[in-house]
Amino acid sequence: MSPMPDREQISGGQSGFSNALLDPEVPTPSGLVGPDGLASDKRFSVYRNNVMASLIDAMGANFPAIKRLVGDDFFASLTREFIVQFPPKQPILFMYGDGFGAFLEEFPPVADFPYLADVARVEYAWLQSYHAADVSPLEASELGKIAAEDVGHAKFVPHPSMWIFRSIWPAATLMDRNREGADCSDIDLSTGEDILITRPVLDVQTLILPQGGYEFISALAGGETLEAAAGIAMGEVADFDLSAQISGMLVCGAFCQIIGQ
Amino acid sequence: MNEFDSNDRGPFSIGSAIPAKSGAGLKAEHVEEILSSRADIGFFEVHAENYMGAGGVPHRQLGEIRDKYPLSLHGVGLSIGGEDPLNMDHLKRLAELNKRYQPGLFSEHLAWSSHDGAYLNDLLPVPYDEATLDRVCDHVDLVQEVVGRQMLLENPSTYVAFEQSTMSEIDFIKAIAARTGCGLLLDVNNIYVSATNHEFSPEDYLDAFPVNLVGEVHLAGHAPDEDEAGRPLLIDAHDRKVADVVWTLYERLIAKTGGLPTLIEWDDDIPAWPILLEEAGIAEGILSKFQERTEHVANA
Repeated sequence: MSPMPDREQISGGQSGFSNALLDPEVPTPSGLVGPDGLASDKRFSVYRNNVMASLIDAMGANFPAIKRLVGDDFFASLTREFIVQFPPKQPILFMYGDGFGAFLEEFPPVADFPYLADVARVEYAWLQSYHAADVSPLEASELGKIAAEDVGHAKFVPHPSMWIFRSIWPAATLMDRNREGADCSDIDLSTGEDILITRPVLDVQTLILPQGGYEFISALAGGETLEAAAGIAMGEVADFDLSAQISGMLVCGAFCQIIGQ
Repeated sequence: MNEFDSNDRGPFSIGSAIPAKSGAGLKAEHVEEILSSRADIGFFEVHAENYMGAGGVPHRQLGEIRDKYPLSLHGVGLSIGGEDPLNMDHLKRLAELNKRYQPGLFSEHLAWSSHDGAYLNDLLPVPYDEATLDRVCDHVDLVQEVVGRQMLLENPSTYVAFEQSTMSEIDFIKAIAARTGCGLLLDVNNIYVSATNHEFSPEDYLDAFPVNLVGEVHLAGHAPDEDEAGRPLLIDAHDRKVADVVWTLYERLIAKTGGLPTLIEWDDDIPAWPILLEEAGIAEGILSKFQERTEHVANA
């Protein structure tokens, strides 16, 4: 007795079909025919092309700045590699591409463009922010309702659309300029950016934070009190301007609720 | 099963019921012009997956459209023909969208698109045999149970046939409808594409189709190609105007059925809104030719 399933079971069905869709080295599955009853690579290739072309299009829609940065042809070939290794896990395509940044970081053909990974991370976060839940951002008057002696103990709930990230590259500027189709020749690649993405109402905002802002907002988003977050930020930046930071984070909609006292 | 009431307005100004008129697939880039021009069109249809985010612009736009027009919700990613179990998270999202937007029609495809945890983003073909029929019927039953309403199942366009098939596509579709109580979405372009690719008569297919179960019609453009033997191979591209031969087939259908909600699908190389509206106008012209008969049937 042999534990081997028969060959037809291995090669047939939707496993065989889907393997062949994503891997051009796999031959056309058997049992699929044209009107003459014969197998036809050309006919099966319509499915191969539909799958690959539509997923490359989906990636292009999700990562327009990366596409402009590397050019259409190179974008197609590098996303093809990404798609084969990491096909979408579910049918909502605006959620496809989580992990594209990590992929670009490790992908040898783009080793000379190390900023691409962070630009991809910012683009993905931008898209998730665009689709995030509709929640009213915190208003300044809410903070005013707290007794002065309790303000330091206040904690803040991050808005569902907010995302904060420290890049050693000017990743937000690279994204914005490329999405606008603007010239990038004056961008200083040696300048890092602390990036905050928010969507207070319908428009996604990409902000580059001033010094100390990343530490302050990250600490608050991580559940620290206002006092503790300010302390962390002041430890980084001697002249940290607390009141300007508070009004800044309220105006940009990074938080949606105050909790505790 | 049918908790859904076609007159239900939900929070919207108009009811759900979709008239026997022409409609268009909704594209984000057209929404502003549609609303500002108060476009004269019967209904809009959306791909459900584009509205499965939590909030933001897509829901704002869809809410505004739904407030002014009846809506048809068309899923493209459920993989009803899949060998794997249905993705329950996805099915629940479809149920939520139905509840939120009260669409007059809800449809999905006789196709598969997911396997072994990968979503392939294409409508892939199934063999027409008993095992597949059982599986598809189980899936359609589950969809109708979870969403709480009847769904329409769309006939596919295909590029290959399966040697293992034991019945015709029409017999397969008829059996699904009989066993599950689902309705049908008849894509007339798909008939023409498949008929060309598999060398059967599109008129014969149309004449044999159980048109009494059809709740909606789709029309779209296709792209010509050929196989390695030089035979015509049509691609269901949705990237251009509806072909004349497809209009002729459509008129043959409407002459038989009377008016049916008819959607123009245009998903790639999307034109300016007036061009899409003009295509819908052609369908409207054909529908109005047979309007008298529709009213007669409706009043019978």
